[in-house]
Amino acid sequence: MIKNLTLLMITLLFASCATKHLTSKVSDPLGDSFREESFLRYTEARLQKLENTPYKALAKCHGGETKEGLKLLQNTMSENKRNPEYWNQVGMCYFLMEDFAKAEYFYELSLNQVKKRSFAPALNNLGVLKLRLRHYEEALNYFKDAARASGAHKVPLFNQAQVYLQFNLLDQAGPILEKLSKTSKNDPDLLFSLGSVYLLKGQMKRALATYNRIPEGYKNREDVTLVTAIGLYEQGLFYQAKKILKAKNFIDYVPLKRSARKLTQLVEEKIKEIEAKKAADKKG
Amino acid sequence: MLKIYTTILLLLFIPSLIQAEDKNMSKKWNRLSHLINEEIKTIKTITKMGPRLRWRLIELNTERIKLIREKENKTFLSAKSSFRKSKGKKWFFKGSKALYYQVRKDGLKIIKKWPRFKYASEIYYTLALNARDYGGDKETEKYLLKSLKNAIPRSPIIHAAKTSLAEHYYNGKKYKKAIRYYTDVLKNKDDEWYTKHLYNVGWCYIKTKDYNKAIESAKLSFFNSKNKNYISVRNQVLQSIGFFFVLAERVEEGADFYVLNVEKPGEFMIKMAKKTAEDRGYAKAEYVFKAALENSIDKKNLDEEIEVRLAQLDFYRNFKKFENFWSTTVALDEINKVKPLGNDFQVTAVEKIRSFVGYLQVRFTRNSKTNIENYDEEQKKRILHFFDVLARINSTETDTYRYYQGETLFAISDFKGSFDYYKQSLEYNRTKFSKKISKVTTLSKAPKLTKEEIIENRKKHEALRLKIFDSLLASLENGKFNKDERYSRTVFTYKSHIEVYPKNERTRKIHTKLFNLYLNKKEIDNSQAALENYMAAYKKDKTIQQGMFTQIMDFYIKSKNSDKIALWIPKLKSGFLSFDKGYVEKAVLILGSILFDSYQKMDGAGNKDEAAIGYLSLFESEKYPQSIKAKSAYRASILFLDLYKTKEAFKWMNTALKLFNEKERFQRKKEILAFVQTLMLSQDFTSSASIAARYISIYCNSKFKQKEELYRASVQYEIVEGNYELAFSNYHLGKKCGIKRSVRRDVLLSMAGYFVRHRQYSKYIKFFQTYKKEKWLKGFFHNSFLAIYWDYYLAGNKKSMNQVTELYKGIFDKKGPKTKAQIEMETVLAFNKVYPLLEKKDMDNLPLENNFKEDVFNKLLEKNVESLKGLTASLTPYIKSGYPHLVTKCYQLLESKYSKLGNSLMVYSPKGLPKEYLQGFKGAMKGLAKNLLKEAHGQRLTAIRLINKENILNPEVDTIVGVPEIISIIKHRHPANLYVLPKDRKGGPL
Repeated sequence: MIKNLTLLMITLLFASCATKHLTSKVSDPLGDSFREESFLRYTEARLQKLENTPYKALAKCHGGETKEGLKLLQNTMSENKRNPEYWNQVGMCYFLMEDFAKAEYFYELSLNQVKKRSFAPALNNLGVLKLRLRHYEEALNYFKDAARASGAHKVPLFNQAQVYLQFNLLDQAGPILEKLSKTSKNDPDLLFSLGSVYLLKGQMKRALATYNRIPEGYKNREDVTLVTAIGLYEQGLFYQAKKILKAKNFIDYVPLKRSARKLTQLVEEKIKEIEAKKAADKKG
Repeated sequence: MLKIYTTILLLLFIPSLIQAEDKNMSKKWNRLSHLINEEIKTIKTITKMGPRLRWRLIELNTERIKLIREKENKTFLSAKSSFRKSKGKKWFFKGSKALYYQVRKDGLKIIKKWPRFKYASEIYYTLALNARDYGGDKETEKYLLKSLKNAIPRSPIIHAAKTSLAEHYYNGKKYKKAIRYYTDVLKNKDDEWYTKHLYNVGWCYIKTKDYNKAIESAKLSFFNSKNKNYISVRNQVLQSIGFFFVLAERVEEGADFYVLNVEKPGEFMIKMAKKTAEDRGYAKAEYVFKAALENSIDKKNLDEEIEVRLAQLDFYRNFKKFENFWSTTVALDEINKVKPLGNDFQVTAVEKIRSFVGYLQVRFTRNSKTNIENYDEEQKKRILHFFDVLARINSTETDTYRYYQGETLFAISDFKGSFDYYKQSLEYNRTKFSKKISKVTTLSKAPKLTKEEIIENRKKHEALRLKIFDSLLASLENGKFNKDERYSRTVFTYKSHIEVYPKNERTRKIHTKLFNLYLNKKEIDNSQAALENYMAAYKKDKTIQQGMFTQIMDFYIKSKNSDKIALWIPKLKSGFLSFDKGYVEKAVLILGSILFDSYQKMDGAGNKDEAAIGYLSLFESEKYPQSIKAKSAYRASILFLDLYKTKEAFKWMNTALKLFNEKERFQRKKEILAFVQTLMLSQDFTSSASIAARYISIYCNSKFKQKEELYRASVQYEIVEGNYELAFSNYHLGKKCGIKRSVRRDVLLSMAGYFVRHRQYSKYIKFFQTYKKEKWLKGFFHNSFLAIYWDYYLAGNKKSMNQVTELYKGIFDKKGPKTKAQIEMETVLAFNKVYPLLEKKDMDNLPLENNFKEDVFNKLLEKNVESLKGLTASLTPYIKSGYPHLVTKCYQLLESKYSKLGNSLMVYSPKGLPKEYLQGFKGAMKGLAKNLLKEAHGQRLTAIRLINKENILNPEVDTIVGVPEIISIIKHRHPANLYVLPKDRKGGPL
């Protein structure tokens, strides 16, 4: 019993290290499908434009100045006690600080200000939190609830699609992402996710075409590089696959790095085979 | 007969009276007595005495009579009055009387026996003198005449006898006879008594109205008195000559006589002036007084001047020369200013002036009563001035004189004026017997008073004081003063009364009146002092005093004098005037509200920082009671919280909680809860939880509405903050402090739930270890373990899945009803046991194509089909269980096995068989394979449908869903976690 407990604890310890997100900072607002709902992908310049909006504090938190952001929020607490948006912002700042306990607390507080707890931002964010804590089913339910709540719901839908993608529920993810991509033709993360649906469905050509639509500035992302390489590999375009894999140093996310390494191995094997056959054909 | 007998006895005893040394008498007397006795004794030894010796004896006995008389006088004077009365005067002088008779008898005997004795004249002379001195003067004339008759011519006895006769007649008022003999006597200018005789004859002339001769004789006597050969009768002459001049109507001459001939004629001239006033009227007397006065002034005889002036006072008063009386008074006053009058003069002056002014006053006040408006202003002033003079001359009685001045004005209803004088009177009266004043005012030569006199003085002093106060109050009552005048005078009167009479019935009322006076004038310090004096004197009047103090406090409250209120609160708490607790508490509340008022306004105006600083300044001050400090700290903490300075807010709230008393702290339970909640909303969970826990600890045994919420906060917020041990510690407080079990359980559950939600599985395990025996947590543990199991399942963490399973199995119910979770877990465990076996089992076992034997093939095929059926049967309960992950796995396995057999059959091509057989065989197998594949496909579709329908998140559905193999090979899985986006706002344009 004690041994089991110890092993369990050690497992938990190692599971705590993780990259925060792989999404890109989108400099062009038009290229940001979720600009009206989420500031996570705002560049510094775009965050600065929020200075004179009710999101000044949140902008600070997104910009890494969480203490200042929280202080600004604190200063307006009394007039915002019943404001769910306010508490959601407080929760957001704590989330960005990775204080999930407080983030959860304030998201719940935000929901408690609304009838039937129907406040999309807090619901969505609880889902994000759950996902972080690897409570996948709960996360999915939160995203669904957020999508049902009033107001814009691109983000919760997008997030739903992410969960579906992770668990290969491609028939659920696909329609969501296709619909969302119609509103923004060059959102890198949207295109990436949609391309991944096609990839996992085995529709390589379509996947590659989708990846190709990703604006240039984001194409050399590790995840984009990997899935593009997979698509190329499946299409038999090994040399192209090798090229893009070689050009990218995978450092952001360990699983990506492992997968990339494995793929590189396979690509090289294939190339070896081709080279060998070429050589044999030449001889013969 | 008795008389004779007594005389004889006395005569017998007389020698004994004077023979022995008498210790009561002086040495001189004893010596004389002894000498006389010796000589008498010696003479008596002679048996035959001639006239001369007998005459000597008479002389000696005459001397003895003197001595005896002297002794008798002494005895008489020293005897008690009652003894004297009982015995009568004569009894005391019996001795000398007896001897007188004896001597008379002896004298006459000698003369009878020796009629021609040459000293017969002397004998008669002696008898005459004895008769005069001891015999009642009845036979004096007789014997003197006989002496003259028997005198030898040119004998000195003639002069002596004539002198004595003249004196006798003079004393007997037979003046003419006296003159006759004096005329003869005066011829003898060798007599040292010449001047005396002149004086006497002068009187005789007066009596015979021969005034001029009287004056001449007196003058002669006066001037001859300068001669050393004569006895000086200067003073006697001076005493009388004035009178002679007056009678002779030669007043001016008389005055001049004095002035010219006497250095200090004052005494005599006064006497003369008085006589002149009586006999000759004002003008003549005035002449004399004036002369005397001028003389004394010229000669700078101050005492004489004073005497004259004093005499003039009576003179002027008698003749109603009041202005002159006044001028004389003024003159005396001036003299006194330069050098105080001597004691006697002072007494006399005071008496005369006082008497006169008393008279004036009576007249004045009597007239004023009848006609108060038309009094004589000058008269009034004069009276007042008189008293001023008296006060200067006799300063020890200043209080009396001022009082009289007051009375003077009071009589004419000048109450303002009268008050001022009464006031002065009192001021002096109060200091009269103080040592300082006594030293200053007492003359060095003033006679010392007897004890009785001192007591009498004191009584008078006291009586006067009482009158003064009565008069002060009467003046106040009747006087029309302006507001300020009335105030100051009333205060003076009341204060003085209290000081003088700390305890009497009038004073008792005055305390309250004085207090009210001060209070109405808003002189609070004074009213307070008045109250304290009252308290000191009348400890039992507490109720009244409380009322008075309340008025003071009301004033402080109205004027918002927080310093004063703060000063009094500790005293009230210590029992000052025995105010009840409620009053004290009210005072503290009021102080608080005053102190806090300005800061509250600051707060209201938005200056919270300043207001907080203000409250803290109250806290820091030592002036204020603990309650105020507590409230200050409390208010500061609230303000700091409003400013979101949570650390300061926390600090000061803790301070406040420490300083509040039980009641104050408990009263604020609602506010404390609000504070706790606001702290949390201000994102300070630790402080919030700490306050909540502290409050519950303090009121652990009390029941109140907010307790549960505070309890929840104390635990929950520590959890949120990650302070798990504190959270647990606060949790345990719940049982100790009577929190409902349901609430405690709720809180405990929330803690455990937190651990599960936040993947704090190590904490959860610890929790589990601690509480696994709690039956009420059974459901939770079961559900939690199951959830954690599936959590690990979705993460693909088989190791952890097993570990959790083992833990969970440890709490499986073996006897009672099973939880749903346990049922599910058991099903999963059973499935996990069965599944590998089923998965491992070959269900597409076919003989080798090279070695085809139909019966063997059929057997194997049948077996495979049976296996598939058995698989289905085995998996059916799991499918029916409805657990999505098991169901999908079941379908996955079924699809796999069916498709495997189907595919195996589809490609099976036995070797060495006839073509047609082979064709038929293949066709049959194909058909079977198609069915199997169809079945497999159906399973797959069912699985996919189920997955899609239920959104079953299963990491092992890759093959069913048809994800490209490369994905599995490189172990690529889309990390949703890294792509999901938080939602910062609801949406819509920014």
